[in-house]
Amino acid sequence: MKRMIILTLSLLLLACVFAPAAFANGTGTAVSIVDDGAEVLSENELQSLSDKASSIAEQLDIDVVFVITSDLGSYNTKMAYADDYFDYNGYGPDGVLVLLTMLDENGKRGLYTSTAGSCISKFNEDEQDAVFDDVYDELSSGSYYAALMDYADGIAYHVSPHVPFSSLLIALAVGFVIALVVTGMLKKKLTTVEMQHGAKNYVRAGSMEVTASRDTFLYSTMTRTEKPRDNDRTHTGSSGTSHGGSGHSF
Amino acid sequence: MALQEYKCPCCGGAITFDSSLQKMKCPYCDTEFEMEALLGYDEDLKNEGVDELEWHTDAGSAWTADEENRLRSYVCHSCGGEIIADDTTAASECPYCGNPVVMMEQLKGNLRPDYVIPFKLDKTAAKEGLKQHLTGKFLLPKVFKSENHLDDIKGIYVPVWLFNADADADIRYRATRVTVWSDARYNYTRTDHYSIYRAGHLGFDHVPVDGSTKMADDIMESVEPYDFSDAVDFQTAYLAGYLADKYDVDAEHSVTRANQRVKESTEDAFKDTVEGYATVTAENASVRLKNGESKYALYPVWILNTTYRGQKYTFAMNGQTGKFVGNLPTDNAKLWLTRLLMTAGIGGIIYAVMWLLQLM
Repeated sequence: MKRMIILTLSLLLLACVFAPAAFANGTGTAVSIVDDGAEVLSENELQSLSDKASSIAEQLDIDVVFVITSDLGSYNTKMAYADDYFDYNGYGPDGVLVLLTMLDENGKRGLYTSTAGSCISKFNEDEQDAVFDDVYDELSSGSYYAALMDYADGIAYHVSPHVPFSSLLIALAVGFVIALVVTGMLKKKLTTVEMQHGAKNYVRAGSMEVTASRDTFLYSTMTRTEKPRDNDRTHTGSSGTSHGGSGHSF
Repeated sequence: MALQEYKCPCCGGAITFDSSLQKMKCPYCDTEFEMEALLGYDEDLKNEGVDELEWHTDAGSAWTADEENRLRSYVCHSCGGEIIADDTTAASECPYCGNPVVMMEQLKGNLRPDYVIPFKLDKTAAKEGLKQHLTGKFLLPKVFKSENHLDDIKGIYVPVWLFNADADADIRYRATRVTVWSDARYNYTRTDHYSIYRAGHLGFDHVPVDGSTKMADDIMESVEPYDFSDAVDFQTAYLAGYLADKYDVDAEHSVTRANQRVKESTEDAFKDTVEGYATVTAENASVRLKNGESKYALYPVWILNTTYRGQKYTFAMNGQTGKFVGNLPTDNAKLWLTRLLMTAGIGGIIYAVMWLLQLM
């Protein structure tokens, strides 16, 4: 028991020691850029979004790219535009690109998030959807600066190492269930008096004989359930690099 | 022409022949059946019967006059316990309730046992058994070993009824087989339902049932099994130095328990022959007993009574095999402390692993 406590405490200690180290392991190669081709941000807004992007890039050692464009140019989809922008401008291997276009393939304004390398799993589609939902009101009302600043915070939160508080409760609940099972087995050792099931010990050896045996198929029932969506699915852009990502029109 | 009506094995509704499908189809649940399947199922249903659990309960014989002279019967007026001892053994207190006043009476009435399994293990072995029983139990209060006071150890011959029988069984099971596969979008589960029929026989020898109300049935079943090959014809000489209980539940009343155990084991044994299915449930079981006969025997048990903090604890040891049983108290403080520490420890480890996975 004592050993278990010491082990737990040392693991927790280890986590505390490593957590800040992970934040500060930037190698200096990470780059960030805000490309406002549509000119929707003011000079000041552009500067502060750039500052935020570069501080995230440096802290997490990933490339952070914001692209704002009036249309998709020669591209047919936001996805292709975003992936190629990321790949052909030499970003990567790890990074997040956020594309905001005033006119997407659906004839509406659109936002697309493209992830690459380690960011594909660290910032998956469910998390992208959650961040998009948070900034949707700002986007649709045209407050692009506020929306992108909040989106940058969302990227920082999801990509940096984090374990939500609810996970601690789940961990404790699992621990309690295991504790109940183990103590249940220990408690059962104290109970040795109970009525016996059957009379197996008194079956005359070799006396069993099966005289008739028939297995008849009656009928079948079938159920079909939809497969859960794979969160880490990726696609490959024209450059041959794998990307994760999701987009919305608004 | 007799009209044959079939019930749907799936929902119980009356099913009809669908001429376009050339199959039987249930109009209620739309399940389709092959004709052969229904005929087979119907055959299984016809074999259903009722249990016939008859026994010849003519166990035991009358005591001879000589034996009656050499044996004494003691009655405890506190709990009603009745024990037999030979005239050289004096019972000083009731082995069941510990009451020191037992009245000696002349043995009368009752039956003479057919068999006895003599004691193989002595009092020292019983004490050693208790010591072993108390080790390696984490949640047993630590002070129990030092504070519990061994009130007495008694070797008792417990009266048991032994039942022999051949069981004929017809059992119908409902079984399922599950197939799982998937394509790009969906996971599929197909459950095939089967009707399984098994018939056969199985023999049982010397199924024991406790014949004494003073000896708890669950304790007596817990010290099982006894090896009947050691049993010998009853002689009063085997009682020397030990106490023997008189039966107060007769064979006719004990047979219920024997029937239950025989039926459970018969169902289990035939269920083991149903293989290759995901689930198997008995739907109908009819067990008929043939050549059922009973015998009266005495089985050796060491009874140990201890007191711990004012409460009595009874332990029993099989006098033939040394199997030791007896429920023990739980240290509740230790139980909850263990749960708390384990919850914190395991929860902490899982949480730490979650962090480590994030940091990697």
